[in-house]
Amino acid sequence: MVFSGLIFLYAFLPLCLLTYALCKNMTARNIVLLIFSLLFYAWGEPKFVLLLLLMSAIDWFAALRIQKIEPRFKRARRRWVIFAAVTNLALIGWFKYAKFLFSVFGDPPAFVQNIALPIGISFYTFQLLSYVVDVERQDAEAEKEYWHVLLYASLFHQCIAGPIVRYKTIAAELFGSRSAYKDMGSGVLRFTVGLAKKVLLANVCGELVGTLLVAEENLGNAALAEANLQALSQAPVSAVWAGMLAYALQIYLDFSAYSDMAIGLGRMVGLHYQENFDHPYCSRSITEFWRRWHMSLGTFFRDYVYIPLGGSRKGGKRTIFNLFVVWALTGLWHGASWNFVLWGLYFFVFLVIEKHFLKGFLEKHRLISHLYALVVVYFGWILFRYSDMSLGGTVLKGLFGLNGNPLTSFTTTAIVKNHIFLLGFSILVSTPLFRIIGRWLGNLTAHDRFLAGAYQVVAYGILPVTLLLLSTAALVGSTYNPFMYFQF
Amino acid sequence: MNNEYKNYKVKHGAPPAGRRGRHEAPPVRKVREPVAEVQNEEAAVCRMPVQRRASEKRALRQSMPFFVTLALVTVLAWLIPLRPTVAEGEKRELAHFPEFSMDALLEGDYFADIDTWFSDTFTGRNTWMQVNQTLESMHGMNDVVMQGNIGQQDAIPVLPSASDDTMKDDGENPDDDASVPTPTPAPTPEPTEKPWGGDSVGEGESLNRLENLMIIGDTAYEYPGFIRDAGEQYSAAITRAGQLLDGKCRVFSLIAPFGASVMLSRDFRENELGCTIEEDVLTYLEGLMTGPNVYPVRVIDRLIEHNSEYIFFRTDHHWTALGAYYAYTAWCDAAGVSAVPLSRYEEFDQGEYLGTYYEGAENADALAANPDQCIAYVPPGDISLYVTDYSEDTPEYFGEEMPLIFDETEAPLGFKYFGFLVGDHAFNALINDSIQDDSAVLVYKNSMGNPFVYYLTQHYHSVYVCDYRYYETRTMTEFVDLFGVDDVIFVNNTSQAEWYDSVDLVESCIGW
Repeated sequence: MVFSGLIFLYAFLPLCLLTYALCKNMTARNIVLLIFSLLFYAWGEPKFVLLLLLMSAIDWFAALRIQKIEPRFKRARRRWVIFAAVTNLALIGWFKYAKFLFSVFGDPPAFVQNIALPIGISFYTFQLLSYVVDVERQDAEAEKEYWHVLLYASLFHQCIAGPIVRYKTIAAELFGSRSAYKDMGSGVLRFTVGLAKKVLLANVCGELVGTLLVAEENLGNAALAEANLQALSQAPVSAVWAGMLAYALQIYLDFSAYSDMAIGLGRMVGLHYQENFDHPYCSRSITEFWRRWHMSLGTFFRDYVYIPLGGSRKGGKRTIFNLFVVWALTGLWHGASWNFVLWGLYFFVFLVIEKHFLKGFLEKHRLISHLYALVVVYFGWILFRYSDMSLGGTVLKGLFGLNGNPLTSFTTTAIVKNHIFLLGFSILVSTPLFRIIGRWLGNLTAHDRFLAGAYQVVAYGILPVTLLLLSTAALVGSTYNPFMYFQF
Repeated sequence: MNNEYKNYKVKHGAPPAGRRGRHEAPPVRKVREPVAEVQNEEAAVCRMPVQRRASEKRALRQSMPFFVTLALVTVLAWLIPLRPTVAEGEKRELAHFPEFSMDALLEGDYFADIDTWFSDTFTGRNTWMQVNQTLESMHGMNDVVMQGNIGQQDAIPVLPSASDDTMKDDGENPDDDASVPTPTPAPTPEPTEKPWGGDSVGEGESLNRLENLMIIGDTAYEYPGFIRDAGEQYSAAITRAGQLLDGKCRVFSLIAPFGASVMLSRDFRENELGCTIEEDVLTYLEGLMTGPNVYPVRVIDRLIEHNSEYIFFRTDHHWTALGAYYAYTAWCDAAGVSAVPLSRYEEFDQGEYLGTYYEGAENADALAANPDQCIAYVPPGDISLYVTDYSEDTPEYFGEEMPLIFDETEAPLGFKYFGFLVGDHAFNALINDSIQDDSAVLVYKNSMGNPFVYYLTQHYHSVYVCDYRYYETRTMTEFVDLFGVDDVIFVNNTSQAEWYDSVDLVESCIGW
């Protein structure tokens, strides 16, 4: 099931909220959330619910054992952390990386080829790992109840595609007390903004990329490799530039929309997740980009890989090595393929260069640094999109007219013109412009009661309803549209 | 007065005396005095339960429009009788609620199919889609609208002697002239006959595939690629038909081109659109159709000669009855007969028509602004039309008698083409009692043949029409023998002539 689906909007969500609202105490509400979360997961992956249950059980047990050991017995506690980490990583390693690892040595055998990737495994595994480590670090108390840990891992808001919510940030609200309706208005607004971003903008950008540069579903099909190569090598220069721009917009809008919806849904029930995106395309360096993009992943790797390895406290060479490991893993987390590893290391190179050489220059020259960041990220998406390096290479050559194609063609010009307003609007949505406008209007109307009231009605009443209805119109009759980060 | 209230007053102003406005904060004079400072936000909130309840109530009130809308649409969506079952505009049945099976459940297919059913049959589907179309029209500038892509585009081989020598438009047998080189035919197995065992397209299913659309102003064009393998298979099937009927019948093959290939210049198609050049495709495929009694009829050239006339619909993939007439004149040349002038036909105007391109276009407003006009030409003579879907055809019974041109003037705009042969049915017979002999022609066709077959009534007493997508009673030679057929004509369009599914159906009809 996906948030941007009619069955979620008009079956699952109303039923869930209604049942939740009818509950009188927090335990009952949490049980409702758990049942609906497991149903949500099972809707997409009936069999792999068991894996989620198993991994939660392992980490619940490990955390309880750690809690029982006194803090001064660090090694004994760490043994349980290692146990949890090894089992978690072995499971995700098997389901996600077995094919990749086998392919390093040759053709994977048939039973490995047929391994299916469970939805959300990268997200809930990391959440559970963070829980165990936080208990060991005494940043959190171990949960006595298994179903609490299961709820934390499986909560449908973020289980499938993030953000990666740390246990210590959510435990008080999830299992303590939380306000029932205080942030309902902002939650509804946030949810519908995310929904509209996904359905009205990201999906259309995705279709545009498919039209200009081979559809996503065809890229992974080995049988179509030759046809894909032919199509990409014949694309005019403008088609390649416009296609990759649409892709850059699609992946940001798609992923940030999911986080918006998760945060919105959380607020509706009084849960406050941390922000996952902060207008990353406004960055003026790659360092800044990764502080604005998928922040929950970045902080996870910082806290659980970079800092334990020593961070920047063990000298320049060790720092570079630590960064290398983190960025290789970051790339690898995104996909079990060499292009993802290279994508991570691509950013590693720029991060190191910025840290040692460019920092001052970038801080002084705002426009150039912004352009520089955009260009680096833009080219990075080529590495990201094309697992088949020959396709990526063809696209790279196509950007500079090295495939022998003209600058543009009748069809490309027409297609781009057909989507020009959408592309422009998507670029604006990627900036803080609308947030600034919203705040400005809020401040403008604050001094007058009537205007302030009208602003509230528009912002929390009319706008969400409009976005919901427009998104529904776009969803009707369309085919199943999973989020891009589903594969992670 | 506590500090908190003082600060509140500074920020918001003191509440006016008398009745409070709707959006004003309630007075806080009744709040309990705090016992001690606390850090915990919840405890801080507890100090002013009235304020908390008020802010929560305000939040709920703000969100009410959203929840009311959600509830209303949810109720509508689950009123099962209101859910559509057929997409009339798309001429297809919508998804059904899936049948339960444990396998489907465990694989996730059951839930995925429920998802599809729920979306596909959403209440008020047409209204939602119209809203979406309006949204999509705002994506950019729409003077030229592109949709989809060319799809598979194989290179077109050139036959060693792809020339008019193989076109027997004067009725001569090319094999009589040993100096004329013949192209190497595609390898064919021994002609064998099989009893009917092929597939047919079920009711409601459609073989129409729409890879792409280009809409310029009020005209839509679908432009071709080329699936070589399937096209060669079709040519082989025609050749085989000739072999099976050698000595009995002439076999004619008409392939109707895409409207784009007729209406748009070759230069534009080649250099701007980058699509496959159909002239070359047809040269190749028709060059592969060989045999002493096989007559490929090249209609594309005749149509291009008349492309200033209204010979293709702007909103539909079919040719108009006028376009079908010019194809008929090309057939007349191949068959060695004189075409009956169109002036002898009576014009019947079905009114405005919006066809398959209108249905398939994501942004169809420009097409709707200038609909097509569907005009039929009623042939002269004492002609009866019979229609049946059951293929229970015998020389004594052809089906139900229907009006020669079915009156669709009051029908929805998408139905006008059904006026020809009352739409697509497995079998039709047009019997012209004004012709006093027992001449008969058998036509295997898809919907392109519907306006075409009327012109044949001027040359044969009996025109038997089998829609190869639905007909499944008897093989071609069985039919020819039983009904005493003189000529067999295959009327197809390029799109289906190089599409595996439809070529397989043609082969089933031939009996191979």
